[in-house]
Amino acid sequence: MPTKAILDVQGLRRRFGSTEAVAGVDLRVAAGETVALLGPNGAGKSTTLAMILGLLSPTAGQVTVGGRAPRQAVADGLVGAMLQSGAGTGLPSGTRVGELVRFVASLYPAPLSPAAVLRHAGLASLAERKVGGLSGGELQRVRFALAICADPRLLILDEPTVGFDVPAQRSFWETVRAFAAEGCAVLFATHYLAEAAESAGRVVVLHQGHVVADGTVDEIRRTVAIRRVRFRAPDTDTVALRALPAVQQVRQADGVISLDSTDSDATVRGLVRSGATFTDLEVTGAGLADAFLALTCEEPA
Amino acid sequence: MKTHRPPLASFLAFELRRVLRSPAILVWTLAFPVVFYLLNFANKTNNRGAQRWAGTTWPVYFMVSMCAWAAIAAAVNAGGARLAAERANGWTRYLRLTPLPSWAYAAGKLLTGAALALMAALALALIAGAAARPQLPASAWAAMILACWLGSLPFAALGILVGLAAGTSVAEPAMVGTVLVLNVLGGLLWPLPVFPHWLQGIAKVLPTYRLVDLGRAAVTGHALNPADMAFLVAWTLLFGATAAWCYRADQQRLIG
Repeated sequence: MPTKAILDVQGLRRRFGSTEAVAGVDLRVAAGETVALLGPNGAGKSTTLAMILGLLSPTAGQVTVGGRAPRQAVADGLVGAMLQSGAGTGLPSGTRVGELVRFVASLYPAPLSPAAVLRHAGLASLAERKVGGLSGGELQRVRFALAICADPRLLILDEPTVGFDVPAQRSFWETVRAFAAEGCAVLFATHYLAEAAESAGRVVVLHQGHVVADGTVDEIRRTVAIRRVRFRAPDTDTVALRALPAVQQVRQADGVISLDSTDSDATVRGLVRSGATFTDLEVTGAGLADAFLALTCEEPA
Repeated sequence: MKTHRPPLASFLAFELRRVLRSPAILVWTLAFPVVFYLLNFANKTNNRGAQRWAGTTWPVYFMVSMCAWAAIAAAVNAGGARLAAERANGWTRYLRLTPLPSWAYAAGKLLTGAALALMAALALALIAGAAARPQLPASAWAAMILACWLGSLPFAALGILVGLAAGTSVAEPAMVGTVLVLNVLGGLLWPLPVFPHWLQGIAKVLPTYRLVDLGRAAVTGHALNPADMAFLVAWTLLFGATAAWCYRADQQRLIG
């Protein structure tokens, strides 16, 4: 890590009954860094975030935020969070936006001024509105506003744009980026690959409670080293292709065969040796989407 | 920036503003006891002049019952459906991500219920006093209101318990039903002697009976019964401890 860590997670584990939702997670987030926690549903993202916030105690391992225990960090206003809300708004009925922000800010020892919070969250013109009448995107801005009231050093966002259309997602992330630019680290959970790639400098991939990859999107792609071998072939035997060296998966569409390979050189040599006829051979990187699939799918059949 | 207020003070102010903004809560709370009092205080079969109602007249006796009713119905709004909704939509959990301690959250809700109960008891005493004009010393008025107010504390705890234990759709009917049963069995509508003997035994354990008994002693200037206070404290602790247990269970469920 280049600078001091604002978040340090070591050997974190959490068991629910017979399943281990988080099975040994190590994670450091540097001051000011933006990190995506990427994984499918059930990967342990929300459980990890709940332990970082001290809402849930770990079965093993430890978390420090700014060198403090999670509950202490919350009490000191070091960390702000936006978690997934259930069915409703996540906000108390009948209250006004400005009133909520003033109340939450008043709980903290050294908060941002309510006016600054509203400005950062793009809510200045909605301060007098009741939360009941806001749109989904506006409500999410209110939740974001509450998360930054503390003037935190670390923002935790659990799937913050789930259910958003692309423009609403973009606009939300512009808001987050503008705030984070003032030196706040952001750790957010998502199962949207594009969101992780666009919004975070670093991606940590979580699968079945384990960190299976940690780096930039490019680094993850290289780590996984999945290459896609594509070619046209008139008559093909997909069973034979599946048996080629290093092939993980075979797909076929409109006469184009696509092989996912962990060693594209070996696959191509095998293909040539097999004597099959093919044209238009190309080898490409599989991209984060496929890297992600390779990381998070069960063993390919 | 103003100086830093204790989180409990901020939370209490926030909650009070919320409930006072919707006076409908208070109006609905008061509607039944007020209307019922106005319809019944002059009831001739109750021989309103005679001092045979726990040592006082029927209009005073019944005023204590309805004052207790108003305080109880107001106090349960500390929790109830509003709390159930806040729990379901994640607001309760969000507050755990702020420096507001759990005890301050509970205390803020209880005190909000207590404030509503005091307003309801005052309002009922005012309306009943204007209608029935009972001749009572100022100290008796004060004692009755104080008894109904403080005696409503177990019901604020009960409201929080129901808000924590019940789902959003059942919290309101569960609350109304529980209060109605407790009030009727506690002798707030009909005096206890109309009940069969075994039911009177049950009634005397209930917090509603103990509250109204305390109120009657207060208004007539009789010695307060220590058993009334002991029962009210015990019910507060029972409801409070059960609510605390539900709260903890709920926190685990919300995350898992």
